[in-house]
Amino acid sequence: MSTPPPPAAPAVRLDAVSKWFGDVVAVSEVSFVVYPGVTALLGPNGAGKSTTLRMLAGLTRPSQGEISVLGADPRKDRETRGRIGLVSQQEELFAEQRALEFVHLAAVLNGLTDPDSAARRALGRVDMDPDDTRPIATYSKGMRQRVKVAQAIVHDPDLILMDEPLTGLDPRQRLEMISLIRELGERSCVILSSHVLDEVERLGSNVLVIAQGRLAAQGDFHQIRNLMDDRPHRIRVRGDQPRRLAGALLEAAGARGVSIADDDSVIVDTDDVDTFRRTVAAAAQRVGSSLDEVRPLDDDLESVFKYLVGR
Amino acid sequence: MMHTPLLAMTARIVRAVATRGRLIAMSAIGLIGIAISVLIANESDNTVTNGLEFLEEFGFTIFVPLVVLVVASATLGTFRDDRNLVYFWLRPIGRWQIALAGVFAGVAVVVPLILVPLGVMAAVLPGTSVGAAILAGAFAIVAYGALFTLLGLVTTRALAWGLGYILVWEGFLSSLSDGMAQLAIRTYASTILRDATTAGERVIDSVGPAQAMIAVVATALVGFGLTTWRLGAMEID
Repeated sequence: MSTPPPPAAPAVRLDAVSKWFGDVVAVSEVSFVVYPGVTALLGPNGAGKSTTLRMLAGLTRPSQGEISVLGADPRKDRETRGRIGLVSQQEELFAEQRALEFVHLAAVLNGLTDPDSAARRALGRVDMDPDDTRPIATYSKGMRQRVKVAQAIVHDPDLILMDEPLTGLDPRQRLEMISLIRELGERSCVILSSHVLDEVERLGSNVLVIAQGRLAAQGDFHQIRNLMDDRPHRIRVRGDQPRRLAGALLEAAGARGVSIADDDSVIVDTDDVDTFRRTVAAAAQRVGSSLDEVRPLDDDLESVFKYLVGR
Repeated sequence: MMHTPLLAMTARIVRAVATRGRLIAMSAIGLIGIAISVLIANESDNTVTNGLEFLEEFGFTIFVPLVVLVVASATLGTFRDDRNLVYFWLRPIGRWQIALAGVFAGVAVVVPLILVPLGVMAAVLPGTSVGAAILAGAFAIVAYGALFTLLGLVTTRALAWGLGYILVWEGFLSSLSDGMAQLAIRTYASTILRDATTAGERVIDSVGPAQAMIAVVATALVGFGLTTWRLGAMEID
């Protein structure tokens, strides 16, 4: 019987890391370990994702706790910095340069022996023409995003940090970028941030849910999706007989509580949204009420994150 | 395209700093200095003394530090302000290379902007030496360049702080006593300049040209060292 291979060494380890700016706590007591592959930091805007990525890149030091990136401190260890690629969120680039010049500079600063070939190869991977003579200033947001990715991968880093890498891309470019990220994840550790659940789902990645500066949940995408679906849901049901509808819905499977909201609608709390959705039409028909609308009231990501934090 | 990190960064910074507006504005100050020099040479009764005084008071107290301030504070400062410093910082290179690239780039841009007008001014003004003016200017550029590169990295209001330093410290306080004069770069630039001119006398009796050159180089090294330290200690956007 063959022995299973030993688990890969973690690429990143955070131990009780906090970061505050004056009175504002950006990241609070966060601990996690990330292995090679694609990992997404999922959370709403202002949750602390970018600060976490910046700490991983060594751009800012934690106020408290310890960070190990590829076994070292990226702020202090020069060699480790050469094993990291960063796609930052900022829009500013060396605007008057051509894409090839910008990526070539990254290749030179990373000490590559053939920076010209490396820069051309990196631009090719993000579907950009290395011989494009236009300055970066004339590029669309999506093109700039791809140039940023090219400079981050030109030296084949072991750890690639991407802050909202799909922002500004059109649907076709998104698909291509997702495909590239998955490909990069096969040989490197890719950690990216996103506030869009569907993006993360398509990456098929491990997920770290960050909200209000805290690690709210972690697991593979299916675990996180189940966690989100299992939470209590609040749904508005509109019909012309709200009192009858309320009674019928209370007896229906899946409803935990029902209240009459106004003249034509009731609010239903349920732990089992799938069962509720299957029974609501029959319940309305049974009491002779119309069914004009069934609308979740807390399906936005903010509500989901709030629930995960408060668990 | 440059293939060594130091040269590649220097070239990149030069390209960012040497904007058309900046070059025109700084050239205009040099042209004003040349125009005034011509007037002094043609109209003054005592042109030898006035020529040297003008070179010291305008050339080394205002012109040189001001041009270096405008350019050098923008070298790394521009990249810090527009959040592009990360593209130098997150690379496997020493912080000293980034600091040196900043100083090199500033010096490369200001050398023609300063030394050419300074040489012309010295050539026009009687009693001054072109060689001494250029030598003194070169030393001053290196010292101011290192200090103002650091200033641009430390504060977003480098121009205001630098101007205050030039006018208040270099221009006024340093003239109050020999002790304070020893803490001003213009003192050492003037010492190098006077050593080769016909006017001759020293700014401070105890400071000769050799000591002046050492003091200027030491100032530049302190500025460069602090810039390197700052790059390692600062948080990068």
